[in-house]
Amino acid sequence: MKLKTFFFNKGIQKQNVKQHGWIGIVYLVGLLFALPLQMLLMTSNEEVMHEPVDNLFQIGFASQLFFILFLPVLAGIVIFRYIQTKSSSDIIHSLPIRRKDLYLNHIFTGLMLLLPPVWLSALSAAVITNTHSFFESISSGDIWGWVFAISIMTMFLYVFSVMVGMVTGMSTAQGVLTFILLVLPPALFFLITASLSRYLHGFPASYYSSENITSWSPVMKLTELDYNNMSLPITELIIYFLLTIVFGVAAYFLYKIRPLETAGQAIAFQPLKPIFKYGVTFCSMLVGAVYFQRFNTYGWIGFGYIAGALIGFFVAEMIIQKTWRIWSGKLLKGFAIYAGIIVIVGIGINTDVMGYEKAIPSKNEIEGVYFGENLQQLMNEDENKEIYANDQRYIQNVRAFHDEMIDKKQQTKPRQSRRYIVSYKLDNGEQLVREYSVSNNEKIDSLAAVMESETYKRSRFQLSELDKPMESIVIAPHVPTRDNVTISNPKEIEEIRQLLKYEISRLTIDDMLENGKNWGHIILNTEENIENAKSQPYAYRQERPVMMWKKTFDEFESWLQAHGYLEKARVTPKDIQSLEVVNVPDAAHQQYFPDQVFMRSTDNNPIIEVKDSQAVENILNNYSEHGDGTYFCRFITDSREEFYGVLTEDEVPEEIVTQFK
Amino acid sequence: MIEAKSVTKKFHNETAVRNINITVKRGSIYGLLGSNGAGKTTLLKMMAGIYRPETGTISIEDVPVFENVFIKKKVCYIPDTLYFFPQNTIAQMAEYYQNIYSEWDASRFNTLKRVFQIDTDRKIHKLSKGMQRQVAFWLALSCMPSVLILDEPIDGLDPVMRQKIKNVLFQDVADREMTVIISSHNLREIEDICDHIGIMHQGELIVEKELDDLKADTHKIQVAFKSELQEKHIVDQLEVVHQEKRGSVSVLIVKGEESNIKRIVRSEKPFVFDILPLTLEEMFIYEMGEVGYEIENILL
Repeated sequence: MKLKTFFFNKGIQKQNVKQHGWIGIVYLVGLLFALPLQMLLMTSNEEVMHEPVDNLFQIGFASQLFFILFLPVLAGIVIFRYIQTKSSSDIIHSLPIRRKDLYLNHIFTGLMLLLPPVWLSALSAAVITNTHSFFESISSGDIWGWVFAISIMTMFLYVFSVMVGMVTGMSTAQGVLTFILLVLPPALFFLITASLSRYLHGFPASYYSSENITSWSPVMKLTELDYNNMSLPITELIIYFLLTIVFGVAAYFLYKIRPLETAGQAIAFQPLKPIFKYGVTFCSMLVGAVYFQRFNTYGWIGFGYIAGALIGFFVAEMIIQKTWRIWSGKLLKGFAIYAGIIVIVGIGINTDVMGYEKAIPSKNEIEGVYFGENLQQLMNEDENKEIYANDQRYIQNVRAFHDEMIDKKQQTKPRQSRRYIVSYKLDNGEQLVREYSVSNNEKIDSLAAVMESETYKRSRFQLSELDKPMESIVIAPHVPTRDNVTISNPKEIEEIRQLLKYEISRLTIDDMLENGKNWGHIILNTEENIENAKSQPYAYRQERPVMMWKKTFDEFESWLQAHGYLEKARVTPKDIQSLEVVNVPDAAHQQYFPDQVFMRSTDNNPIIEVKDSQAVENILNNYSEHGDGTYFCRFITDSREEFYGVLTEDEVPEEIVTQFK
Repeated sequence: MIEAKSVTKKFHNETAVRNINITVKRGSIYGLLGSNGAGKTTLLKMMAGIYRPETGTISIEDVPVFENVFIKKKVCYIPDTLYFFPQNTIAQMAEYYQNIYSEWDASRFNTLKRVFQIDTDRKIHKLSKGMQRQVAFWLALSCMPSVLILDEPIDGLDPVMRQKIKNVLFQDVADREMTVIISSHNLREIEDICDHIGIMHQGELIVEKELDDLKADTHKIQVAFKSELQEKHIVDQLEVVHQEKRGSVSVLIVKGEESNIKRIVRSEKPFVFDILPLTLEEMFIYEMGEVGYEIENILL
């Protein structure tokens, strides 16, 4: 209580509650509607089946989020409005109260208006969960989790809004800037990486700009709460709580040095004006560039940079001066200096002054290496145990590939490309990650050595899963003529295991690059996975290990035939009732999906029906589900199922090709 | 006592107040004059502890005023644009001030009710502009301040109320030695209450005078002599700041003691001799000589 008497001012508190009390009421009513009332609705309306709820975040989250995001920020604006209006600012600051006490009293009012609604909502939610069996899976821990998360985020957003208010002199600017700053870190990160990936050959933009950067923005973090983790982990809550204190203290010091005469101006501190101005210019420039990147020509991108920068620069200046008539020679000088710096930085990046593009770690620096197409594997590194390989030959091969890629710097991004990621774990603990796009029809000499190695195949095809104890193996054909085939005989499982390992070991690079020629999926029901599925709720389950059944798996196919599974496991020529083929010569540039071709009018491209059973079998064995090619085929099975495929000219029997000529 | 020592205040690139030194003695009423944009409001806001001066110090009773609660309890500021909390009645506003100003005197508040005669349960925002200004005075005077800072306070008051407020001010100055600084762009509005006058122009204080000195010291006389020589003779003896001829009658603005002037003029036996009333404005203009003609443009 001592602290209270220290700063608590009855007059201010009474006036604040009288003036701003409505915020607390709106927050309370909003949260009550979003949570407890929603819960009552769920229990009372028995005709509508609801998914079981085991968390308060799943109930009316959109409306919860609306109030949680906006009311604290609004409170920060409204309660500290007195510093943004000249007449009130003058009077209040002429009174015999220190700014410290003004600040503490107003902050205090805000918290007193915002927090009780959160607690009251949680309390009523708790009462409802205890009286309705529908919510039995919501534990008291879940409710406490909600209370802590929402209380801390409420305080954080409120205090952050207050701090921004100290920096600006206008309430509207305070609101707008608060939300901009709250999403700025990931947005800026995305913009910078998107731009760098264009100019820095090998820059792994997607590695940096994948989902975990959203955690840099409390707003984005909150919007993900309902489906992501269902709650904020305690460490993040502590971080937000500490940040609340940091921003609160920062706001206080800003208030102390704030020149009161800046009430009404967009930016209250003189030194922040150029930061604001050039910050807006920079962001706007990047937005312009990224927007025009889709036109993919240097002219348009250059236009994007210049237009973006100019718009940002002038808009920022207009906001600062609060007029649109800002033209002056001095302004042009400022922009010229900015442009000069950007050009120098641009040249620096383009000529790779830092040696970023050419950097390949030397052999003895490398502790392990990762090569692959799958970014997810690299991102979720700790979950996937060790993904870095330290086999010396493999390291050497990956380095050779990396070396070859460095020389293949393209000017424009290929339309159809494959992405390869190279990541080195270095002995100094650092990581060096590069990403390259290779056009589909480009040949990379050093790629075969990497991809045909056992190390690569082990990681790509999750061979470790094959070694695990298995309950059954399911073969799921892509053409649904039959049901899945389930093999659960331990002896057979063992044989398939060995066969699959053999088939994978003899895959060539061409087999691996071609990923449309599959008969079906092979699903491995490992005991571990089944166990996991039983113990975890749906959203948390591991994916089931799956392999593609490639058409090149000859031995596997013979085994299936020998054991009488083949006819059930995939479509066979016997199933085919009719087959039509069409040649679309311009398909090479157009990227058609096979079924698309048949949907469209085929007036210009005559359809040929293939009767010869040898040719049907031939085409069935060679078609690709998607990919390059100018010949498209439609199969119709006995059971009237249709499926489509694409073939290159080499893959189509000659007699059919001649029919088209 | 209010004291400003070489105070400068800049807004971005514009200097609003430039190196000002000013002393307002305890128990005096100081009129701060100047045209719009002269820097009066800025100076007053620094005195009220709202703005922090860039350089120099502003102290009240020898203590710097900025962020000083102890001294600000004795200071009341009435700005040119008034502010009251939205929806508050006079009584509610009074309660707020009572919580803020420890010197608040409830009986004084009730006494002043007789002067202003506005129902305390009325919402301030619904009052007229003039009435709102009365409320501001009412509240400020109930705080029993030692220093009252008034920015263009007379605007919007009717002559009767103007006189009433002046009387209340005089009373407080006389009874409690309250110090008042009052700004205006119009000398005539405040000449009857101030004992000191300072004139600001472009951020600088160009003139500072005690009115009694000025009044005792400057006289406008109308004289006519038989000969030019007689006139020349007295002009040589007097300190004449301005001279005008209307036919045979001369109008002289003369500095010095009245009795002394009379004695000198009479010694030459004028056939016309009158001492005429001099407005404060004229006094300034003549008193200040060359600067005075600049002031002429500033004062109205």
